[in-house]
Amino acid sequence: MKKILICAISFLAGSLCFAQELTGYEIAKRCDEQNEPNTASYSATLTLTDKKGRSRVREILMRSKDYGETEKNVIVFVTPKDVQGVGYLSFEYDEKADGTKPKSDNWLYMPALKKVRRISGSDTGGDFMGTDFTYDDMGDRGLNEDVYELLGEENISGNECYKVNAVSKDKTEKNPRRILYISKDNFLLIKCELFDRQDNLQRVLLCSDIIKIDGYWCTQKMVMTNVQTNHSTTMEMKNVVYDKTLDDGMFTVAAIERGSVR
Amino acid sequence: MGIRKVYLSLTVVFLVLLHGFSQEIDFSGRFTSQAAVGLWHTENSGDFLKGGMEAEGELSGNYGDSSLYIAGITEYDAAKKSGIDNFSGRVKEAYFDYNGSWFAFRIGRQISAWGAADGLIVADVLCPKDDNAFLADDTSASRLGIDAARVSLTLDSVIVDAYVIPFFTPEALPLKSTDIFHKYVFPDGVHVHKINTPDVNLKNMEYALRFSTYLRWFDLSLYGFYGFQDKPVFKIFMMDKKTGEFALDGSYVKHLMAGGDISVPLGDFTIRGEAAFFPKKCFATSTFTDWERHNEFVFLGGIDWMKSSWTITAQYFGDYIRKSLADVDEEHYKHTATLSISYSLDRANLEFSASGVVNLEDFDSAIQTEISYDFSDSINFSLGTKLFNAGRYKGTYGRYKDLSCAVLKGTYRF
Repeated sequence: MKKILICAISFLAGSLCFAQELTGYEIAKRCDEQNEPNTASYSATLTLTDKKGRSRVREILMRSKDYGETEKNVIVFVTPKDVQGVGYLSFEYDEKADGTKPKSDNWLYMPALKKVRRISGSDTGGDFMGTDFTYDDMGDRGLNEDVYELLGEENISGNECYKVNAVSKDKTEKNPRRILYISKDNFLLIKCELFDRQDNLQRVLLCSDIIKIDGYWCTQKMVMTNVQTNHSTTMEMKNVVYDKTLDDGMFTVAAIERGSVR
Repeated sequence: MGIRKVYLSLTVVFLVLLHGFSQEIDFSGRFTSQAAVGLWHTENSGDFLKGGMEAEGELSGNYGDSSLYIAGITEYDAAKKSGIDNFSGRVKEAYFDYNGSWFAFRIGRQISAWGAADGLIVADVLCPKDDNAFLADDTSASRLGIDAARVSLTLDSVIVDAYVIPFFTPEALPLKSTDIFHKYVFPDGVHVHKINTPDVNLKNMEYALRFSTYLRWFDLSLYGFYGFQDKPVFKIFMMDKKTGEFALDGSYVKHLMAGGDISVPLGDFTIRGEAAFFPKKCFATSTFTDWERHNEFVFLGGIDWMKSSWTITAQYFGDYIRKSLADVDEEHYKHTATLSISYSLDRANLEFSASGVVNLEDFDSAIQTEISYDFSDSINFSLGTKLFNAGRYKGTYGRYKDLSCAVLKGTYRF
């Protein structure tokens, strides 16, 4: 009995030591290094709700493919009708060894102009389709763009989470500070609080309906609320398929120009 | 069988094929009601320059990698005094499309836009303009489709498009006296007697080629075109010796174009450049008594800045005709500058925009302003102005100063 107790105490002490050894950076790293599919294909409905409860709906198709150091994403807008056919193609590049992340290459096809325009990759802080998500939120953020600090633990919607403070090294960003609530079980993001440049809470992201599809974790529902304007956007993903063979031709300027992404 | 009956028949066949073979059919369109009223300082003060409705519809059907697409527009303009000319309509596009992973083709009536310029034409000679599109907002509204077969090859970041255009489509000129631009294009007392359009045969086919590459640091496109100039070249002649009446006869003349464009993202900016060379292009002399051929070089430089809700674009455009001068009804060197600013609020539901072009010789200009609001995803209202300002002389834009107007537009999309 005594031996069992000693073992149990040793194990518990060891576990506590292990848990305490995880720094904010390590927790964020484990969250960032989640097993990700080579390809992803889904449609998403974004419901915008204003402070009076009125809502509008946008629908997009999204396809992405990982080429190692480059991830190519294509988004095609389905509704509303005034943006139907608009195509957005982006090539995102992995972080370099020195921790810097090269700017993405972006193209936008506008059906009204019948042209593809090369656009600057700098303005990723802009609203995505008038929603509460930004292009930055839709893309992949480099792990070393922030400095992390573990603040503690908190229960969010029944999930025990690490609470990690992430401060951007680029102070000009729209949200230079974020608090990440990362699940202790599977290191998935459950909640995120985003602060503006005056360090006031600006937006809150809540993730739910997290399930495994084709062996990969998928957050099927995300609600981004702008607490300053009392406006929210709910993004719900449907028809999610991972590691399906996606033609390389889908991730070209020609594909968005010809409207062949379906 | 008239050409209209041919198109109507083809449209019916098209729609039957669409219905029969498509896995998925999508129908959408819009109704636009608009009115343009002459501003107080013009000779058309208080007059309706345009007033009526447009109905536009698109039908598309997909089957695997193939699709069928048809788009048409009809318009009723109550401001035209003639009852006959109030109605107009056309098939904008109607094509069959196949998109494979590296090979694609499109056959039928189609609109394509080349180049990196905004609102100005440098190398974008593929689709002709509709010179009657007074309130056109975009390329789709202001351009006419070409009846062509396009074959495309895609290899990673390189695209090659080759066009064969068996049926020539000319620019839509304001030939009717009820057309709003008629009196500005055709002088008083001189009417258009006839315009000789090319015969439809193998010899009169047009060809175009585009090579584009989209790279890490820049996009580059090269263009080539061999075909007819979209506008006829006119010659004047005395139609009636007794009355001394003069008339114009026009003919379409073939030309060659070689051009290219480049876009380079730099930080918060995107730099654009475009150029086109027209060897021995045909021009009418200033007296319209003859034609002459001169080399023409057209170029443009532009810069875009997009940040948050702001979009600002500026361009410089130059048009140089080698060996000019008084012999040709085109100035030796024309240059213009454009500036466009837009700002959106309320999650892009409300947008303010202003754009202007100024001729840098005469300093005449055209300025367009607009406030646009989306009441819902389907309904949009806009209020704006189109101002044409004279410079030292009438100028390219100043001659339209009496068309300066306020525009109210409502659009319903479905």
